[in-house]
Amino acid sequence: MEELKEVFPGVESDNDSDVVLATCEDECVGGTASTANMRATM
Amino acid sequence: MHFRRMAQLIGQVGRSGDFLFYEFSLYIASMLLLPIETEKGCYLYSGWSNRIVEVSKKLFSQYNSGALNEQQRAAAIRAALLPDSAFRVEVYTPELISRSIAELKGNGPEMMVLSITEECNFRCDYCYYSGAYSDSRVHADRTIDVQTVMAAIEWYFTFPRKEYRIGFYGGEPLLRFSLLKESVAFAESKRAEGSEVIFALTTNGSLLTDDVCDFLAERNFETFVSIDGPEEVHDRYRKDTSGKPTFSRIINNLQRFRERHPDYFESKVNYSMTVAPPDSLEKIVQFMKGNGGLFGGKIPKVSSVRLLAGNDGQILLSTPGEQAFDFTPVWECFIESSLRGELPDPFSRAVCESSIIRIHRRPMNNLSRLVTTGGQCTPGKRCYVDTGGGFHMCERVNAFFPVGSAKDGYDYDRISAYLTKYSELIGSRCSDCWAVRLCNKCIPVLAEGDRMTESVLEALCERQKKNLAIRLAHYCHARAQNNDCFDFIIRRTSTDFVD
Repeated sequence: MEELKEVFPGVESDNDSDVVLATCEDECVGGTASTANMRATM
Repeated sequence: MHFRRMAQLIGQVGRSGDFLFYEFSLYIASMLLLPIETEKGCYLYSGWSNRIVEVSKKLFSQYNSGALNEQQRAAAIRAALLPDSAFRVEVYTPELISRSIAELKGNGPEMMVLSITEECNFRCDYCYYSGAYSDSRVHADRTIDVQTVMAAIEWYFTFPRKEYRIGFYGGEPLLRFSLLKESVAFAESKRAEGSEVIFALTTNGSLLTDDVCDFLAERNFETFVSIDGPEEVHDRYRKDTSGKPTFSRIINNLQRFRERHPDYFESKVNYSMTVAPPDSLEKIVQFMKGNGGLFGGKIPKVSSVRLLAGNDGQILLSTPGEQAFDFTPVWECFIESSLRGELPDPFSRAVCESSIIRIHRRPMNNLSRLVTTGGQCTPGKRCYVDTGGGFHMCERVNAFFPVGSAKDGYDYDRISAYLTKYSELIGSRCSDCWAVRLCNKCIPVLAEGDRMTESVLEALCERQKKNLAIRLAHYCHARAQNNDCFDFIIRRTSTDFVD
């Protein structure tokens, strides 16, 4: 059976948290165009 | 370019632009696994453990063509691609809701955005308030009154914070410059000693007089000016109330602003850019390069207008049959620069970097239980105040999901009810989806009138999975050539992107 070789690991260190929090605040800046666009593209 | 060649080499896959993604095959093997094939190799991404493994073409075909046999399943478990017992995904559990609300009650919003006026001196075709979108308000001459501003700010300042952020939004907020100044003076007079108030402004840039520029620079505003690119690109959609083009006014104002306050301009003025077909992305990149004084290394906020978005956005339909704006050339630029060890150009970074960061910084832990917000922040972490004093979770949601008012503060029961409803809607959908640890959903994009609906969620999930699959393929393709190619992102994020 072929071995499955792990590649391209993520760089965040392991942690025990089982909770993933929202990160969208970073992207919540913009004008009224991006308001429309967010609703259209997300 | 290699991405195009790949598209020709492999037939059975879905396509976006010229890139590949296996849209449906993952359902055959395991819904928690995404098979990815690029010119450089074949991979499996696990939504459970966030791991990526390389597999031979033969094994890839087996995973891709049918249900896993026992041997394959055991190998996938050994490689930490699949859990050996049940994997539970819960979106906004009651405990997480309680905790989030308690935090909100203690700290209040991270930012308050005041809609100073609904009036605007522009009539941009794609604007959320243009009338092209069925559930949004339209331009009006309503202006917030100063008592409402004061009540909102006083309420905000009841929360003990070291830092308060107050943004001004519209319409065009500079149409009410005196009210804006009054609001700033009030906030400064009321802030607690030892705390800081950071002000921000989103403007179309047409009213940046010397007085306005001096005021913004003096108060160190974070200023976002909307500009879409060179004249022929910008002026197609960004017109004033008489239908006249606006580019030359904006660019002259920006140049004058920069000459008057060079240091402030360099550090605090940035741009919101909207790309819409048939824009030429190369033209935008060249425009930014050719105006280094105005743009420098600034990374603008870039958003794109999608075509064929149901009734929404039909006004922008210019190429029948086209589904979305094609960012493939931008991704190619970003990847090629990264592979050369060079910082990509600011426009490519604006489009690609946050997606790559999310993938590159993914935590590598195996979970038996994942509690996730699904991408939805706690409504109220951002407080958008409309001209009537109503509070909303952000400026990007329609008026049907209020979270309180300047008069009464937050309605925490209502906020809790929104999250419960959101959790119920998402349900168990995420439990067997490979995208669960990378995707982002939120109420503003799920809202259809006064409801969040299954059909909107389903469409959103499909779009997100499609985009994520393409991004993961780009990611694997690049790291296969240079494993360290994205480390510049980590170096830069550790210093908050200071140039």
